[in-house]
Amino acid sequence: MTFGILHLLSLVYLTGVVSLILGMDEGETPAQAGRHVLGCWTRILLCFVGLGVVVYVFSLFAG
Amino acid sequence: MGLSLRPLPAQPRPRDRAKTLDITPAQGYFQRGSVSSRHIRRTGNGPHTANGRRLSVMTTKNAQPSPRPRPVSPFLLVALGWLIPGSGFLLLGRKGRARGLIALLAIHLTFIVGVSLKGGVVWPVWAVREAGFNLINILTFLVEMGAGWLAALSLAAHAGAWAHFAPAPANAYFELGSLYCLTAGALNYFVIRQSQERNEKKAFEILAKQ
Repeated sequence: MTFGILHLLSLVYLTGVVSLILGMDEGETPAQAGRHVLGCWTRILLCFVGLGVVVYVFSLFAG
Repeated sequence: MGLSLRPLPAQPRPRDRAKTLDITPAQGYFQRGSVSSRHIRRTGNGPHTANGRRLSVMTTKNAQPSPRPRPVSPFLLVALGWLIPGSGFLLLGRKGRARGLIALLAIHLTFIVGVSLKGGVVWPVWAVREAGFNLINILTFLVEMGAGWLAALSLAAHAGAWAHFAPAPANAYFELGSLYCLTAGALNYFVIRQSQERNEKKAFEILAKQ
């Protein structure tokens, strides 16, 4: 496994764990908590994808 | 000879009969923790209907008074929750069991993945005037120590040079592994706070019932 792929998988796993721990106490029922966790995880991943795109665009102008 | 077939009067089903009983305010005995079944057996002063018929539901020997829920000591909650991640929720009883198990599994798995990537907890340089002093390292150490016994074991392994569990700063994956350990420690602080909030909520509910 290459170094970059490991970082990407780590990103997905760590954001998932953080969303799970922070979101599991949000709803009174497991369904509500599950929806909150999934929504939170999706938003964090989308933010990171956005950051990745910005960094990629900047890298096009570097050197 | 004429046979006249009259329909029998409709008998109420047992469930309907129970609905038609005119229960007096003595039904308050059914409330949790108000009067024990032993008291009802002794005095015979249990729930009864309006026409004086006693309801023997609670006066049987099998009826047990429900145990009163009690809040957990906050110090115990924090100490045990820090030492074993997720155990704070487990102390809260049935309602916190699922959350406790999820937190316990998630934090342990995250830290173990970090250790398998040669990451871990490294003792920082505390003296300001020494060359290796770095405030970020100290903050990282404090957050990583949130993982409780796992962090203590990693620290002990680093001090004792136990190769299987000790972090290896020279390894290429050390930074990534330490990020896993850092995340596990930080998450445990959140879990401890969440279990404290649940415990406070439980204490307020008990006070409101009393």
